[in-house]
Amino acid sequence: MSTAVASSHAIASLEFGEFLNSVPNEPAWLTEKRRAAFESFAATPWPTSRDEEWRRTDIRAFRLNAFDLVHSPAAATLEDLDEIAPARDALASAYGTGIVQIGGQTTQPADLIKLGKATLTDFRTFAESNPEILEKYLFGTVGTSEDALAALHAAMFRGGIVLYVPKGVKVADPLYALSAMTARQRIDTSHTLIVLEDGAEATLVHDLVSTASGESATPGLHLGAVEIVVGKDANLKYVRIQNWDDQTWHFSRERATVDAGGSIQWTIGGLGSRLSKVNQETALAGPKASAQVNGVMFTTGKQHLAYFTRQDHQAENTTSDLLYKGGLTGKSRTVWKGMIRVEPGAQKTDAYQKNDSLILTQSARADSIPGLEIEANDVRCTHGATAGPVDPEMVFYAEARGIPAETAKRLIVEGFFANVYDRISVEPVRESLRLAVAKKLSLG
Amino acid sequence: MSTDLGAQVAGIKEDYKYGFRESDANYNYKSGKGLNRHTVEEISEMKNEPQWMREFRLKGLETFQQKPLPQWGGNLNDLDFQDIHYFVRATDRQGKSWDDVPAEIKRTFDKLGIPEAEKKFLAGVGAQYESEVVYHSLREDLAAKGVIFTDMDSALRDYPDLVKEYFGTVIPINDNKFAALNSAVWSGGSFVYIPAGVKVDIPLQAYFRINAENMGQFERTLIIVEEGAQVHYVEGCTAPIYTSESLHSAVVEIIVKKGGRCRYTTIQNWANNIYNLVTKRAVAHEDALMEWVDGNLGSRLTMKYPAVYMVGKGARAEILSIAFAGKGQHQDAGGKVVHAAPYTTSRIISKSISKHGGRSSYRGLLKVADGAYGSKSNVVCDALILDPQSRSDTYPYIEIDEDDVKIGHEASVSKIGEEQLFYLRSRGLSEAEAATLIVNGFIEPLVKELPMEYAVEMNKLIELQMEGSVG
Repeated sequence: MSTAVASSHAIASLEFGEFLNSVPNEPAWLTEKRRAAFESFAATPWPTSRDEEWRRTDIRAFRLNAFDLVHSPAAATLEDLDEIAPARDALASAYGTGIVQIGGQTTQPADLIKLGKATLTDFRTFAESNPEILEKYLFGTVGTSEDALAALHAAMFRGGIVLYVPKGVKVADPLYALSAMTARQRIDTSHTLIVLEDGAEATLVHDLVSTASGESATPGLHLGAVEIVVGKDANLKYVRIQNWDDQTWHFSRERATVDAGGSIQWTIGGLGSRLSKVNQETALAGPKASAQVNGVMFTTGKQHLAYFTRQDHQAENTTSDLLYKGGLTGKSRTVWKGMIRVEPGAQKTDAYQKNDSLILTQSARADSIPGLEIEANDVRCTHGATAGPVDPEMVFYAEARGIPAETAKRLIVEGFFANVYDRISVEPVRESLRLAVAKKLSLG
Repeated sequence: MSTDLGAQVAGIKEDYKYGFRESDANYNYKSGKGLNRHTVEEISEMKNEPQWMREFRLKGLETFQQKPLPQWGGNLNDLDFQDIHYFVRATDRQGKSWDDVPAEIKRTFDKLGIPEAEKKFLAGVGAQYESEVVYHSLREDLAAKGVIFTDMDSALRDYPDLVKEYFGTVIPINDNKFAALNSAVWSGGSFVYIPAGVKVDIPLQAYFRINAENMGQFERTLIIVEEGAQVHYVEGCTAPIYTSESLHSAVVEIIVKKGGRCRYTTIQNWANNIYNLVTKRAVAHEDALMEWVDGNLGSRLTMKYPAVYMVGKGARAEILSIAFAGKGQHQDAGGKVVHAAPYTTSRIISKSISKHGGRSSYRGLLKVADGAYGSKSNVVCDALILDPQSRSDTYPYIEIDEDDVKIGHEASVSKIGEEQLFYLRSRGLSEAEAATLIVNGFIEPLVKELPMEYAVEMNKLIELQMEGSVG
């Protein structure tokens, strides 16, 4: 590695010391975790195209030193609040209660009465009120040393969202969380932790939104992680829709473990950002755990979205079902690489993964890399991948019935995504995804 | 492939049984173990090669030394490149004794009913055998049509211009570490040239052109199919091949010109101590058809992904791959298709079976280049896992640079269905017989593409592999 490249991605230990001063009152164990992760970051080379996960995803244009991770961001202004108001109102009108953050700092807390026995709060508040629970779960699911970015997040994440549902508590109404960036707040390094104890139930709709856009906007950065722990017989629906502006770099490591009899329905929307690199993983750790994973991607312009998914079957009688669908226009590109892994002894696994890509323009490109690693024999594992353009015969058919080509195309795109929408059981999410895709299609 | 063709071939084999005779060629040379510039120069010298080939080899060596070992696929860490003889003359095989051949290999020979002399040849302890008698008439017939079918070393001597024009054009030296190694130390292999419009209607079998050079560890095969010509080439044989050397690394290059057709069938059954790391690639021009039929049964580790680059409009590629991984084996096999021209079509069918702790991996690449509009591809991988100790992987890479294409991929992994087993057992079959029957059905799409005597041996072999796998 040349020093020029190194220096633009290096953070001096002096600066890290300054960072620690900017997150005061954190428990000692957390500071220790941060220090260890920082050492790992300093020792890990910056990813290059020679690394398998980065072979198709070029981040040479990304400059870490263009972002100040060291100092606390300025407090949100009225302007910032105005900017994110439409996104907040949309969520507030559809769901029970929720938390709103700008750049990882809370601007609106959740309604405690509506939450009941569940906790939905920001990272700092939770660290003060439930330090033992935080210590038990933080970085227990997501790794801190997979690559330089994972280590950097663990060392220098700032703020975040915690949803904690104690044993047996069932939260009836869907909750929401809004992680926003604005024209002035361009950094979000927040950490998301979701813990459902045994028998708990909850639904969380999490939108990642920024309002700045266009070439004139300054670059944005989300360097995040999501950790999900689903206890025995617990039941979580988590929807995470990433809709950053097209100047934002999105790096996120996300992993859930589901214990015996538990289930997760995890829906991912990949709509925004200049470039995304996401690892979305689900581990089925106890017998009869199950996961349904849904992905909706729609890219325009020069966007590049790379999603790496894993379905880790670690126990008997576990089920996973993954469906990722992507629509591409302009010169955009998507990369999906999926892996079903069945550990020895995870008999009676039933696992499925499928990725379909609809390529709407000549210059768009979709890479689809399914994979299976199976070390048990009594299993049923299948995967499939398809890619193709809008069938001209379908457009012709529609036109022959007086439907303009553009409308026909929109209907066909909607039809393409219909079977993934149908799987999402959180009603308003289907509609907002459908609208977001339609909007991107008309602009794209 | 019609049955009378198969019968014809089977007939030849009957005669062939008595066609063995010891060669009186007694030249003798064995390079020392290890690989360096001196080894490579010595090989080139021994073969009295032209200067360009010597330079080609040295460049191969240099590239081999520079390239790191691949970090994907199988485990290559135990492979010691300095503990290998890179050049062994055929007659040296006599130096080894039949007693050194492992008992299980001998048993398999017996069960397959392979004649004594042939057994020794396959086990690498016999002298060089040539079936001149059988083969002579075949060759005359082909020669009359202008077909060239000879070993690579002779071709370099007898057809220097043809060889120079095509050698290393499909698989360049720097393609991968093992292609580079082969470029440095290659020896033997086949050279096939089919002139325009000539249709060779019997399979050309390296097996018949028996010649120890062909069975070498670093053979190099080059097949040129001119416009409108047709050929079916068959490599290897179903019987296990035993050698004390641990590495087999071949390169096969094929050029199929406009409207030509080529089918290349391999049944690989190396003994379980061999690393089998092979690069096979064909270029298919306009309206050409290239078919790979690739069966992998033997070896400790096989890494082999027959490829077709479709560079002409309307070219077609078919890859049929089967792998059977038993105890201690890792079959990392698959196929690569690259659509580089419009209206090209490809199909990959892969079937794999793992048992007794074996691991079979499908690894494939489907690439559609920008501008290859109207292309279609379908990839189907099915795997059977016969016991809880075994493992199956699927790594199908798909890269699409063009929007006007239709792509489909499917894979499934399962065990033998309880219902199927129950049904067969209720008809009086033992569990082992039933399992064998199901496995035979599973790989049937491959077997039916083989020449008949191969198909028969293949079925026997599967039965042998399946012995004791249930219960």
